Amino acid sequence: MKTTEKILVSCMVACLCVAPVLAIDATGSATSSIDKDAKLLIEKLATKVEETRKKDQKAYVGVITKVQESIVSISSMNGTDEKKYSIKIDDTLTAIFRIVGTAKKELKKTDLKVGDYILVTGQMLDDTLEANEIYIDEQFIVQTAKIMELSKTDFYLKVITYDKDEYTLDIQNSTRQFMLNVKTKEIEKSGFTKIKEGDTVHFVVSKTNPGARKEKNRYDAVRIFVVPQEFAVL
Amino acid sequence: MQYRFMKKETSVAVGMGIVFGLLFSFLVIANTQKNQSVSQKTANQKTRPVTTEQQTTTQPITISEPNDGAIIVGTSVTIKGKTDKNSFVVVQTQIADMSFVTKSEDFEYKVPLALGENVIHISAYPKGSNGKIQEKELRVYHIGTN
Repeated sequence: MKTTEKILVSCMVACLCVAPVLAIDATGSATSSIDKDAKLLIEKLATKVEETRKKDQKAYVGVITKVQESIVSISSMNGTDEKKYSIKIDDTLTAIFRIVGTAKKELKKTDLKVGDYILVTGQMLDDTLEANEIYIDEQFIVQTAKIMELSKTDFYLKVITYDKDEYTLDIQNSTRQFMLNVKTKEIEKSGFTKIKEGDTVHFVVSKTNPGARKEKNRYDAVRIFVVPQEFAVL
Repeated sequence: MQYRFMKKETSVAVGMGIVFGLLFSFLVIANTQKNQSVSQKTANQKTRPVTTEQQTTTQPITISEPNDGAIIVGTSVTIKGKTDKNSFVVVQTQIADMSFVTKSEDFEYKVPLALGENVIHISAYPKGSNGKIQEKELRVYHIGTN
């Protein structure tokens, strides 16, 4: 056997030993790549289905800015972002209600007025919302803030939220007042005299019914829940 | 005689081939295992829990259910979310104030709904946060069943 033949035979035998090992490695990579692609595809499909489902169930809220024959325009504020929607009312298909406590009272199209806060369900088609149902509702603000100042003669609280928004809350006889019992961590009914500057207040006010003769960001409080400043989570 | 000599040489060549082949295979296998252990180590490092210094910081409150803007048919909704263990959580809506202490990072709480828009404001007072509050707000719509 010549030297070249010896080398050739050695290489062939070496290849026979190495090939299965390399093949196993290559097959593993290919399988994991296919799995990855399949997972991505499944995830994309699931996301698409979820998006479509959510799209169909959307509700739109806003204040009416214009009322026309069968189109109502609303302005919706999300933080500082303002969105405007046109709502198409079908005389036979669209139902209009006013929410009064736990009941809803059926209304006519002509009852919709500029300034009403409405909740609309329907489908958005070409930038126009085809309304199924319209509800005239009350708009609430629910916030958490620190009490900066309180008046024991005029019964108001000046508060500042963690987003640095300032509010004046007038405490009326109708205001539902609660306070945290620091020892039991239970919510208890409370009165104005127990509130101190520096306490945290969780409050609800109505933007629709702020109270008589109010300046900006001043409201009659609907309900307050006060967490005393000495409260510490043990 | 020449036939025997040839046979011996062939056997040596085959033997050498087997030895080199096995040696090369062993090197390939060893190298693959080394790479796998390095990649696993890297993945483990990525998912390793935060350091002691980071553990003192509070995790932001997150709400997984319901989605903001969801339409709810029933008269109540169960809020599911995450915050620090042993946090004091206040849930406020226009019709109710509720509070509870979380027993684990995950929490869920049933909230009654008013007809129409419901603004649900969730505030968490994490343990040892010196009054620093985590806040989350979501709006859900309960429109009844005609």
